[in-house]
Amino acid sequence: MAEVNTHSGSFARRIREALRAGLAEGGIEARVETQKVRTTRLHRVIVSAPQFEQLRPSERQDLAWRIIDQRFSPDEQLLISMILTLTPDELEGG
Amino acid sequence: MADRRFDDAQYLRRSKKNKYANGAMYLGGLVLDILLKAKLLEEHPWLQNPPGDLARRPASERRLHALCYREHDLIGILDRLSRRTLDRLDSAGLLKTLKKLCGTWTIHVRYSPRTSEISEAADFLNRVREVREWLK
Repeated sequence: MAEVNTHSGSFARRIREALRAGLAEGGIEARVETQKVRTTRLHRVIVSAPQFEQLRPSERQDLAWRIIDQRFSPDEQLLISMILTLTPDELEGG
Repeated sequence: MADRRFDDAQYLRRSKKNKYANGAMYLGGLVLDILLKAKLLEEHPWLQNPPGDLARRPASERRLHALCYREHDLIGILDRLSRRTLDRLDSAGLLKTLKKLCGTWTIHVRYSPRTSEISEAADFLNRVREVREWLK
């Protein structure tokens, strides 16, 4: 597998921007946060949006990963460990 | 063990009753939990006979032990699987499916108070069946 040369900070920013823009195209105003997984090169992503209320958790996952699929190379996608897709209420109560 | 939990989940799914959907999804997630923990044990054989005094071990080993024996943190386990395992899963076209399943289950059990529908549980279990064969 080819080595991915991503500067961690800019990679995280690209993830946030891609998800915000991609979801906005579908009318979803999302807040996106990224976290680096300690001792690894992986990033975790937390996306919250009130509009997720209308979607099943599996539909939210499909949507978020489809956006990532369109905007990141397969090797870059390997560096995203997970995307949590929550409503603000779920995030508050979690 | 994973097969039994999967059969339990399928039994609930076959009821076609929405009131059993959350239970079916919970059990489906446990199937992944068991199989991912088996992968951890395979990759870190010391976990099969962990040292008595874990407090003296490095934080990374204590974390692995907790993931294996005390928690149901699917995403935490995924983060610690070897690159080789992840590459093999990816080559089989199943890594993204597994990540989505882990994300869905985590939302389901940790964050969302909603009651699932049985069709959602059926879809979830179909995807679990796909990755289960590979993880075995």
